[in-house]
Amino acid sequence: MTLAEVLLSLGLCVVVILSLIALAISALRSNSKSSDTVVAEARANQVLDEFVYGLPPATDPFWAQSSFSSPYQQDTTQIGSNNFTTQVYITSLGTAAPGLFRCAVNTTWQGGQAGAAGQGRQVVEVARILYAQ
Amino acid sequence: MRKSRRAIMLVSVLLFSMLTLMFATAAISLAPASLARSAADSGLTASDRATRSGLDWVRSRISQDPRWNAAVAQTFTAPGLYVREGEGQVVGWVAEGSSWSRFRIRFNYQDGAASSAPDSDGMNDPSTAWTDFPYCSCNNLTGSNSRPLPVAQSLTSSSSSSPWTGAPQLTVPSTAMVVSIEGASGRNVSLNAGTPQNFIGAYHKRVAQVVLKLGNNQPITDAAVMAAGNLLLTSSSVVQLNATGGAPARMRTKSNLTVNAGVTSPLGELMHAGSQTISGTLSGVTVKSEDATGLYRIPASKVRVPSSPIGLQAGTYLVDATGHLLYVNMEYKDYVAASPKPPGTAVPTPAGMTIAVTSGNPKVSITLTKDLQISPSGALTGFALVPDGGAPQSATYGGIAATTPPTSPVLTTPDILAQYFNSNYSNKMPLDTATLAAWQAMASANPRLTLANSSASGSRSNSSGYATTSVPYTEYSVSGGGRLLIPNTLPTPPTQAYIWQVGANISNVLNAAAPAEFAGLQTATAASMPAPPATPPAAASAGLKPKDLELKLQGGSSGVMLANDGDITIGAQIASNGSALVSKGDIHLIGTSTDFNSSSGTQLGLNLYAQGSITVDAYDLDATAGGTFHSVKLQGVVYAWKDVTVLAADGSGSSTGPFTLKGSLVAYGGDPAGSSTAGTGNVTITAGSVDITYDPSYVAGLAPAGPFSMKVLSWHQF
Repeated sequence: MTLAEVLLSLGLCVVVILSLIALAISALRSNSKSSDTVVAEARANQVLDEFVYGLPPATDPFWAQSSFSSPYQQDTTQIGSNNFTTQVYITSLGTAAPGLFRCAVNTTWQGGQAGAAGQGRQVVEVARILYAQ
Repeated sequence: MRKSRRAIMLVSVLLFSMLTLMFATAAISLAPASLARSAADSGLTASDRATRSGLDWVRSRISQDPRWNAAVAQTFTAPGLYVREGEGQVVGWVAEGSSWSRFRIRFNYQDGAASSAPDSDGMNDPSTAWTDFPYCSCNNLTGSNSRPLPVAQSLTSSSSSSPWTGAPQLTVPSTAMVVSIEGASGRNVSLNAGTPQNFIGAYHKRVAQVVLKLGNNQPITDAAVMAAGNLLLTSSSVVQLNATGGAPARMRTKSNLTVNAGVTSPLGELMHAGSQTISGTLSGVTVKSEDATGLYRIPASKVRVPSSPIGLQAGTYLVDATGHLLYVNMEYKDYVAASPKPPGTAVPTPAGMTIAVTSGNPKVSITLTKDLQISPSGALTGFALVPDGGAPQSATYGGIAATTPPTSPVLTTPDILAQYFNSNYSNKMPLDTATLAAWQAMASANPRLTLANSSASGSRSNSSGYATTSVPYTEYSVSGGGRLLIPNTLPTPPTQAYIWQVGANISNVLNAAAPAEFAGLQTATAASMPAPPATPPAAASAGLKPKDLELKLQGGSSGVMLANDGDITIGAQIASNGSALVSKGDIHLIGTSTDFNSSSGTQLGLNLYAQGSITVDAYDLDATAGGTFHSVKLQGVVYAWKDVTVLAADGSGSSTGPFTLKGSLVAYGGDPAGSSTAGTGNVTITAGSVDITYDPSYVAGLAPAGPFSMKVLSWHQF
């Protein structure tokens, strides 16, 4: 075994290992963002469902309002290593049809691992329209 | 041997590298599959939300019009929402962050030209046929029979006219609705001027088919007749109770229900919260001893206001046979009480109001083509339009009693002065109960008199008129000087009492008297005069009667209205098309027939709106043999904060007129801006025949808060 053969083998190993590390890091970051997005969307959808389920009956003064505080509702939940903040926004669509509202839920979180460079503030929004009954 | 082992190291490294790369490639190629699955889940969830948005859109539209099927082209835009309707198709877009989700609904079966066939959609094919969404919707909420619902088997035209190609997808029950909603979500959307047009590339979609029905927990249970107080129906024949489209036809009361001749309906309900007394046969009608929901609420703010109106002053307007409009500056009740009647002053008719004299019957027609706003005239707020021959009502049937034709002479101020202050005291007229009361009434409200002493006494000289010393009298100071003394009571006969004045100009006092009080003094004095009247009595009224006068309210498509802050009294035949009488007081339609015909679905559906009571008295007193009743026909909404009374029969059956209502009639029992008070707001209908048809479309445009709440019977998603 010559020295050159050893060096060539080691060099090849280093290249392969470094490539793998780079690929793994890239995949992990991409996967992390995707996972966070999926989690955020799921969280937003859950909050939206819970909000709709908890709405008062049509006779409640809630439905007579034409404007709502912004955000109407807000909370923060830790899922995994991330804090997800959800905000519920309600907008009257009375100009389109009486008694109609648009309900949007925004979920925001800070992308990337804590203490490491990340993707910055991430946000997803889900929305639907609601009719008072 | 040594040489052959030399390369094993390199071969091993290459083999290791190759295996490692294979694992890495496998791992990396699996990641996108996982991501694609996540994206698909996310897209389907967004599609679900879009279908639910579509369902709520349908509910909001149905709450305004239970017959809605998106046939009318309309576009709705609001922040985060864009919906386009028309030709039986609905496309709605809901913004979600930077992306959009879409819902689509189709009522158009694409089954050819509009047809009246029972299973057809009743619409022409749309200009752009949908070939990628075969599931149709059907609004059968007002249908009394079930209907088959096709599915688009072909991708071009969903079906031919019934019978369609292939079996229907399902059958829609009566009074139900099937909505097929496609919810879709995609990453990229093409925009045109900021409004989404279509998805670019692949998108996810879901379809939900939902069966809806009108809920039992309506905030308002719809009904043809609603009364917060008692509901009394007196008819010479069985009451006919119907509803358009086979919907339930109801009459409701928060208090007691009385029906004397039975009710027939294909699907009727009589609801009462108090007691019930029902005579006669009920056919197809259910009686429910509960009424927990609210009544239609049409607050004053929902009633349209006159647009660029012409104006008239409040007071009483007489119309004579020559087509002149004569104005009397009196409330109608004062005019009715006056005897003789003031002749009135001719006033010009404003532009938009014409009076025509015809040779036929009615003899005089008044046509109103512009909105008319009545403005107060001093303290007067009431408006009356009556023929110069009067529009009397019988006290038997409510309203203002008929005025007895004048039998006494018409006395002028000098006539009256001559009677009470004749210098020949032997001819001076003593007071009796009526004249004393008339003088007291005239004096108490006279602006030229000031009370000086309410119980004076002492002898008075005969030289200025004589007031007995046997009774106390009231002493008034007269503006301009002098005094007027009026006995407080009459002495015991044969002692007599007289009016007494000292240095006063009584002529000015009488001229300043209110018309009603002066008329009272005229009447009482004339009746007490022993001698023949100085002025011949007025001839028996030969003027027009209500049947001779017609008021035409020709609103057409834009409507016309007559609005007043006080009462509205009309003593004429009324022929109305798309018009309304709106009063902050009472509305009286007296002495003849009434025919209101309005358009549905808008504010123009309102016929009569009174913040007080509404009385329609069709009794024609001027006919021979005691009178007859005319017909009352109302098509639209009749709404009163207090009572609604319709009199088209005397209850005995000897004289009857028909009553027809299509729309809704409400006696709310309070200000509809708030809650009604049970027990107030009675509805009384007395007629020869009663034919009531409930048509919610008249109410829908006026009470858009949604009386038509829906409940979801089933939800099927695929």
